[in-house]
Amino acid sequence: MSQDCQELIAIRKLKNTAERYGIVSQAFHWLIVVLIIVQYQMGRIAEDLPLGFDKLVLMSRHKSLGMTILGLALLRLLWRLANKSPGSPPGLHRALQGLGRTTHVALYGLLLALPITGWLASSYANSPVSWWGWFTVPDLVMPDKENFERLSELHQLLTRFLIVVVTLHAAAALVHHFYFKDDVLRRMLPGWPGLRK
Amino acid sequence: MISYPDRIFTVLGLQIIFAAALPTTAAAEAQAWQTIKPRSITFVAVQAGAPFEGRFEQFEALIQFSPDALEESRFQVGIDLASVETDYEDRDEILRGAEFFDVKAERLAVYEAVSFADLGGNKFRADGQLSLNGRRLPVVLAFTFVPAEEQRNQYILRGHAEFNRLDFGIGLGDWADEKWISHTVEVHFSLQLTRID
Repeated sequence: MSQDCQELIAIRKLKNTAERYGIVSQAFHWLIVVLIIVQYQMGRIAEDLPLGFDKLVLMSRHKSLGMTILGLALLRLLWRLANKSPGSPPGLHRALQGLGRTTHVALYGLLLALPITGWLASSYANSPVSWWGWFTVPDLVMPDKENFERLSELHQLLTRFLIVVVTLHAAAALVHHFYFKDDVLRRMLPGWPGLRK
Repeated sequence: MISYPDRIFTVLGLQIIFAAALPTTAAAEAQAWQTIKPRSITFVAVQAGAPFEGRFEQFEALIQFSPDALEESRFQVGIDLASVETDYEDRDEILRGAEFFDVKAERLAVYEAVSFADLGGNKFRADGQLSLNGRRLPVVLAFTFVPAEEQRNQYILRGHAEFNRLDFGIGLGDWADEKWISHTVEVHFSLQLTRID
């Protein structure tokens, strides 16, 4: 095979097809999965820590990671808009298709809403967010103690909502795989033979 | 000789300190001023890579100053450290605590200057001493002294100082790491002054 041809195939693997997610979509998906698990644990541990140095360090990292996830989520949305997703498998009940779409919209919404409410809470607390100490993210609003409390509560509420939606999403993937026996889970897994077609 | 009204001395413990330090005759040529609103003493520190501003709500400033009588001029400023306000309850609590200002041991910080230099163009420099956290060290103020725009008899004293918080034992232990809290703290002040006759 000529080098040009190999390059062409490599580029094609990056993009989604009607049957599977490409490498870029998969990378976004699994990278964000890992980062969100880390992010959730950091937030949970920091919340329970007593006021002090460790809490400051952990919260600062939580904020930096939150901005990282926000950036990735925006890139991912752009990629999704430019690159059609495989869509529902044929023959899936309309209600389930709707449920799937709703879940995905909720996931994307939360992926944006969680970092943005965290960012707002930081601004309200006069604690500007630094991105890993490299640069300071601009404040969205002026300090305000009451609004800080409100946004913190909203941030925590959305976190609980995320847990529910993620659980639903993962359960759906397993139902597709083991009960419907379709490719819905496999097409998001790296190395699936479909990629080498 | 200048006599100050008693009500100037409202900060805890300040009266005793100032009464002992008050000159009896030497200050005759420098104008005595009283601070009125708007007046502020603020500070900027960098937390986890991002700068934030805080302020002291309670302070008293005893200003004797005339650009043509610098020899007789003097500043005496008392700041109630417990009045620190950074628009974030958790941080204020830590700042008031034993690892920072330790306000239970001593809640008053005092800045005193008797040595001034005229730098030209309404710019001045004060070489004074800051007593903070049980330590007394030289701190230089750079400031301007200009008439208030709308009040002909009033002046605005505005300037800043910089010091290393570790020199005053503020934020030791884990907190001493510059990566999480800057060593350099900037203090800014702006005081509207009206004459005491």
